Amino acid sequence: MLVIVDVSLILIAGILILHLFGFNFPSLGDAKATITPGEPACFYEYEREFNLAASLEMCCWEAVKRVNQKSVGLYEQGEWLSWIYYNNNGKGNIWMNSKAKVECEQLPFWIRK
Amino acid sequence: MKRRKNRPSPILSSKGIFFILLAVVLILGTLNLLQAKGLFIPSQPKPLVENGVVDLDRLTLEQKIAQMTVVLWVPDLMPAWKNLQMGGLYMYALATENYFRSLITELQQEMVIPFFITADAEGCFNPFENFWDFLPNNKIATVGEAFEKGFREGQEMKDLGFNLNFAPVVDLGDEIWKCRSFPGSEVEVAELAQAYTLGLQTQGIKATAKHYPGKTLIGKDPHKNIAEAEIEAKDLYPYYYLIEKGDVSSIMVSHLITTGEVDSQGVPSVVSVEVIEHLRQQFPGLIISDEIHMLGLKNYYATVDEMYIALFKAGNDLILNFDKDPNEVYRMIQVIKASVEAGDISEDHIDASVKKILEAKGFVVKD
Repeated sequence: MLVIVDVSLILIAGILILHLFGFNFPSLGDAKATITPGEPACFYEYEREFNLAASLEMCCWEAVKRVNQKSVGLYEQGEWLSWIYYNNNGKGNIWMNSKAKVECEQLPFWIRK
Repeated sequence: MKRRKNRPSPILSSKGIFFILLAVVLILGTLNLLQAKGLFIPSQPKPLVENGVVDLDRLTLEQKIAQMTVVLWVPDLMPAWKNLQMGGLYMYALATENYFRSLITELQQEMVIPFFITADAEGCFNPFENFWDFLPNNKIATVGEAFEKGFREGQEMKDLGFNLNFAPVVDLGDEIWKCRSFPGSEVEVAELAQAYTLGLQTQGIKATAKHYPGKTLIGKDPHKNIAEAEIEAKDLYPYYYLIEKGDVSSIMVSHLITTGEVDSQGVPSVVSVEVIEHLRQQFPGLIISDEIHMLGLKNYYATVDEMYIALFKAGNDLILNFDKDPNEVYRMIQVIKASVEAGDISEDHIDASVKKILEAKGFVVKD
């Protein structure tokens, strides 16, 4: 049993050494982005009017700027939106589906969990 | 008579091996974490500033390139950004005014050349909407209201410690957000933007007209990453109006590939030597790139290094690089440094940009 653990630790150590020297491995996020089905959809909501974002990364960027992130559910313009990014006054919100969220997570400026 | 057992050495026992491997993994994990925070980036020398005078010859090339870069504020990365002496920090929304105020005071501590502290306070979506209710641009009808908006936003931003705002948006006809642009014709937009700029800048906050050369708020295809637009004379009117009045401190250039009145020659405007050189000849202020990780720009290049070089080569004074990996930002600095040393990017261009940046920060620059 301990042998299996030791081999696993050796593999982890190998990966950590390679990573330390700048070798980039495919991340869990990459895998999630690949297996999450559907097309990304991200909406700007301003005073209850929803507009589909012209570019996903701009929409991700707007989401980063918000204070709060919450998992929710809303059906809008044929899309099931499961994440909202908002500030407390509630005027301008960003909504996105799961596919959009995993794609946002791949962007270098994404700082949310 | 007791028989002595032949015990294996504890180091060589299976448990011993396990603990050694565990320790190695823990050490390597910690090193990886420290590296992710940029703590292995070589320590940079402090810039020499005497009585508010900066001698460009006494800044290293790395320091100059860092001054030309605005990065994303992330709490864990502040030691790295301070070490690299980046030109500016971009702040996103925080919960309270007090948090902003105390944080910015702390960020600027020990900085010989202070950061530009920047935000997108456009009035409709902005980082302060958690506690301030600014009027969105589409609700501004008169020059007086625009000045008042600029004045009030400038006053509040100054109080928090900001010094550079990426607003006003002067693109015509906001089809996407419906609230970022001023309403009306190009003449009305230009006059309202001018009044807003004056109001903001009376409070010491530099305004940024964006996104040159226009048409960034039109377009609905979410899957099209490299966007193109035909620029008309009316799109440029607000920029020329603001430039002629001589007040606006900076102009942000977009990633659109443009034709018509401004021809970016098939490349995104922000990396077009023609577009930026033309703008430079007319506008003495800071020319700022839009955020460089937007796919409209990134997808245009085979490698990010090519993109970095093109951005600096085109003549942008300030580059918005919001990569949260400080090692990558440091690598960008090294790529640009190598390119300058190879004569691919002119050091005179770098010096001219750094001079503008330092003067905008209130220093006298000796070159």
